[in-house]
Amino acid sequence: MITVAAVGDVHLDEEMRGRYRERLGRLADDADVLLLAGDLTKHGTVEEGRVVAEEFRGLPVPVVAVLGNHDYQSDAQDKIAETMRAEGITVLEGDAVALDCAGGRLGVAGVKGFGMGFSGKCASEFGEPEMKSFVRHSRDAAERLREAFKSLDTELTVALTHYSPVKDTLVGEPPEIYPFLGSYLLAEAVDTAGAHLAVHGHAHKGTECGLTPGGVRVRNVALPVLGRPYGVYRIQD
Amino acid sequence: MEHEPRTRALLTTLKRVAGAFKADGVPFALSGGFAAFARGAPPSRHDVDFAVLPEDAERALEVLAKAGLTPADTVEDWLVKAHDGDVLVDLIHSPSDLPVTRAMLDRATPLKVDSVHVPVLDATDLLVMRLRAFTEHECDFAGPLVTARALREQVDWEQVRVRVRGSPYALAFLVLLGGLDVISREESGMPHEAPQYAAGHLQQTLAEDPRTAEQGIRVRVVGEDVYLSGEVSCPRRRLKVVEVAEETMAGYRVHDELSVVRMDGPIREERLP
Repeated sequence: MITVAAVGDVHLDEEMRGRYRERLGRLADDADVLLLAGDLTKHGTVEEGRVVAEEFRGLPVPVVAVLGNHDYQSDAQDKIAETMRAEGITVLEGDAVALDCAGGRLGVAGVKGFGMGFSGKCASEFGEPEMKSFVRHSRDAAERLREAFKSLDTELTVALTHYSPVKDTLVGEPPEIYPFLGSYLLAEAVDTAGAHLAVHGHAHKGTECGLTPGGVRVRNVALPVLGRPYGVYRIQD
Repeated sequence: MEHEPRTRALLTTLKRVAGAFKADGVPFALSGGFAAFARGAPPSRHDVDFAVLPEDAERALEVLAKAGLTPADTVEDWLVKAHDGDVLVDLIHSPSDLPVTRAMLDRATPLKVDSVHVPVLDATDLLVMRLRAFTEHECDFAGPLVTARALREQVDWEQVRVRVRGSPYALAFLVLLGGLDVISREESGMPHEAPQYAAGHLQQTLAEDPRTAEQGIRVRVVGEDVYLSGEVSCPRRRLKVVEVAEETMAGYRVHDELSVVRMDGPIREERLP
């Protein structure tokens, strides 16, 4: 049995420095690991990346993150990831990490993911090069999530993405923008891997709880959805 | 003040006509180019225009004949004319099918024109008259543009807009004045962007402007009002969103119905079997 804390879309910048960290005092009692589901910065600048790194460094539990679209806004995503890694935070992008927790080993496979839409109402790799590249980026992300899961041999696994694998957790957002909020290929990868939980962010007006077609719990942990510092989920095999 | 000979001749006629009307008690007001001149525009080089009541037109012409001017034949039904040597005097009584009224003459202000006091048409009346005169064949904006620039602070543009509503040429001229910043956008009556597009553009601006980078702001535009709702991550960012919205939507009232994301809810554990 392992307990996972997760939050996304904290959107930190200089003005927010310290304001999130002051809510993390009980983290060690609450969870074995903290997952960050992307959109950690506001504009994706190196400076904001530093605020993120300092806000989440030296915590009593391992911190594993993926980046979100905001973190790509200034083309500094690599530098942000590097800054966070330098402070001991694991940043995943199409790879996985296995953590030794008190209740066993936990595997986390992470990727930013992308939009594209959901089964029957989604874009295809057809037409203009921009459209093809949009869909290809989404397919690549899902493929990398699959590969990341394959590298894990832990009993318990969690998928960590920024974009949503399902529509369930988007309820509250205008349906017209669903194709920009996630992709069903992510859910397919989660189901193929038989993960125990999938957490994501991105959809601020969405809903916390959902399920993949294969029955895996999905949790939208975007901070505005949670209204609390982080969600806490206890999982067991 | 030294004027060139042509202007001097026109001013001499102007004073002669005004003097004759005053002496005979004909209600009148200076109109046209010299009214604009009296109010600060450059002097006119054309004829001398006066506004008189339609019922006074014939009598006014007789008064001018008595003062030594030569009444001229006119085919138009909205003015009568007289010659003072080679200077033409127009007595306008029904410009653009709108008769001169006593109220209009009462609104005229006595202003000094070349050392004599002459009642001069109110700046708003003057502009309305000028703008309503545009037709398919007479719509050169250059002259009126000079007048509008010179008189802009004296004119009630809102009233001008209402009173020229029937003339597409006049409305086009007001849009030009708005575009040149001679008058404000509201005064020009320039239509706002269609609300659904305005809302779409603002929403994109709020996402793309580095001061905000907010993607979840709901924008609704109703008439002149913009309503912003949705959640932002801190109070300062809320101010930024309003600031960018006000900047983008100049001329609209921006209503802040935003809320700040809360993260102080109690932490609870969910057990996933």
